[in-house]
Amino acid sequence: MSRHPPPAGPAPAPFAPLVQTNAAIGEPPAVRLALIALTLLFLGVFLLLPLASVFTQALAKGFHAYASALADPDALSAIRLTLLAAAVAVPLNTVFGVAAAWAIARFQFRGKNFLITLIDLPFSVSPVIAGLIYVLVFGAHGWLGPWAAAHGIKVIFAVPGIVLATIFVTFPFVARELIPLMQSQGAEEEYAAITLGARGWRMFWHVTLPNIRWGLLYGVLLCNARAMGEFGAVSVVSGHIRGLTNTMPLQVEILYNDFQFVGAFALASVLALLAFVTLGVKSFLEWRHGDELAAVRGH
Amino acid sequence: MDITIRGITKRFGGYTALRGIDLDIRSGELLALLGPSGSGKTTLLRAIAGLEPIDGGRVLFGEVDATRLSVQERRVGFVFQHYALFKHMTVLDNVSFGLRMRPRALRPPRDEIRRRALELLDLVQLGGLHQRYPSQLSGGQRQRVALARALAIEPRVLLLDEPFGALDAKVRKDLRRWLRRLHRETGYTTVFVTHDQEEALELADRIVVMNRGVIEQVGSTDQVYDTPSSPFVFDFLGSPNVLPGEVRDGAVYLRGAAAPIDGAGGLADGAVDIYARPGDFRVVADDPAAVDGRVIEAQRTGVLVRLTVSLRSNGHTVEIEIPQPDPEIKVWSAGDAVRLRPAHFSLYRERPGQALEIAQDRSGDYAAPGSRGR
Repeated sequence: MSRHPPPAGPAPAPFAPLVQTNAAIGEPPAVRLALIALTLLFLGVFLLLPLASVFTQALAKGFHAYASALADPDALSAIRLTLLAAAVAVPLNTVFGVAAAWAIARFQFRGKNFLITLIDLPFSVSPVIAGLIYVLVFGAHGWLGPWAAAHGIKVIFAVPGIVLATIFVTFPFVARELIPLMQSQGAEEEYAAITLGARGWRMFWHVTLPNIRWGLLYGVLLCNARAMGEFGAVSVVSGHIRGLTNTMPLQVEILYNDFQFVGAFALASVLALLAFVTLGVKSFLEWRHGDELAAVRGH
Repeated sequence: MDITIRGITKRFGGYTALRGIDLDIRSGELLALLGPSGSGKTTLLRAIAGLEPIDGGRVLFGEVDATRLSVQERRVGFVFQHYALFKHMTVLDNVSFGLRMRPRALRPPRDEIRRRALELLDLVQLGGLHQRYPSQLSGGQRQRVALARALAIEPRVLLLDEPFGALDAKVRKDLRRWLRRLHRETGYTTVFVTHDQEEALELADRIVVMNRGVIEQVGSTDQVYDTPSSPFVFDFLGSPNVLPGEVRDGAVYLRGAAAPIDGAGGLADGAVDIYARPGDFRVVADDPAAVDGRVIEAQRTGVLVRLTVSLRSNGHTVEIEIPQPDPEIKVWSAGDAVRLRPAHFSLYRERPGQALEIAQDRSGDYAAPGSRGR
């Protein structure tokens, strides 16, 4: 049998593989270019440009002004409060999300669809309504307000209200991420684990959790991002007491309305940086466990 | 370990998957649960493992009432149809999982666990692959990892759900032979589920034929194949031809034949269905017990000739297979007249006026005197 030289150039050689280029199933180059350009343009205008403007505005009067704006006690208090709200809301919603996803993906029970709808509720109601709910419940004239006041518990216009509102708004993220994942994975591996003698908690730790950890991570990151960025619900319950009940987004608005642009954008830049850190952690974990991830996904 | 199953019932909503199953599984045997999809065979297997809560009945492991035991306490080795290997663990970690999950007091030391897992991997001929992840293995290799993992807990019984269902034909054949040998070497009581009659016949010591939540027949491979207790079992274990026949004067006649093919063996007079497999027919020259037919199609398949014959008595066609006698001799071709009679057959009788509800009232619908050879 004679040897054929490798096909040169785009000319169709007699033994060229059937799918040498995807010209047959792909788009013409012009369309591809247009799609890429459109995407980049959109990203540039709606994402990169605003982001760049945040940092340029924050540093408009030099680094010293930027640093002193951040060192302002009110700004520091806002940062602390935001981190606190996230630090309480994210772990709680992680536990809740895993439990809810587990219940929904693994068990059949009456009212399951109703439960799924309930989990989606914070997504479908306006955050402002979410805030108002807490005012109605814990406010001075609310159902539990007088009782709370009698016991010296201050919820509305105080830190607990902010934390509660944050929890409410962010609670679907983890569950929403995990439910479809756990449903599609099925329970076979868990069944295998229990036939091999693993008890509930160890099965969860050794089999369930490793299988859902990437979905869980995405859910937690989304939950965290929203917890730190939430404005509407927190705004209603906060009362805007400077240095006490202002979270970062609220503080940004106040400063902006006071024409303190450097302060407003400096704080906004910190929020943006926190988002970068979140993304960075995610990328790092993916890079670190890349082969494992590929092994799990490739199955 | 002997396993005794008494009256297991399982319902899914309004659907009854198991209707009072009784079964004795003998220690050390290799038992096949054979049936079409929806017959309840997998449900029964999962019920033995405790993975499927049952609505009634009991499972005994030896003298122990397993129905009261949790899945973990039952210590059954279960191999899932799609293996259910732990994707994020290496092969070694998969196999050693059962030992690592033991309570601290019963857990062997680390080195011992590793040694035993490696030993098992050698047993399933996967030595050297212990550091791979399941996604880096072929289907047959995954299957064997799943088996090694199940064996690691020294199970009371090994339960395999369609063990070769997801594999291609060649691998399946090899694995069957290998599993048979492994069973001989290890001696574990093994129950496997299959819908493939060939697999059941080739692999099992005994076969349980299931249909619509009941057991149709339990027996050795020979018993089930040679004397199927119902048309369903006959049908499931090979493509049967149904010939019209009748019982008169204490003998069984093919319809239209002058002489009987067999004694009636206590059957009352009347019509009877004669079931025979393609290979059980003989083409005869002059036999008063035989019936006439005409060859519609002749197809040579290696050493056999497959004939499609139209019967003169009722115009039905039968498929028969006969050995190719000699390449020199002319064989049958379309249009030839042939006389044939079944050499081995089974008799079944439908009670007149009753629908064919095999599963629900099989004992009543059919008088099944069993099957007799000539």
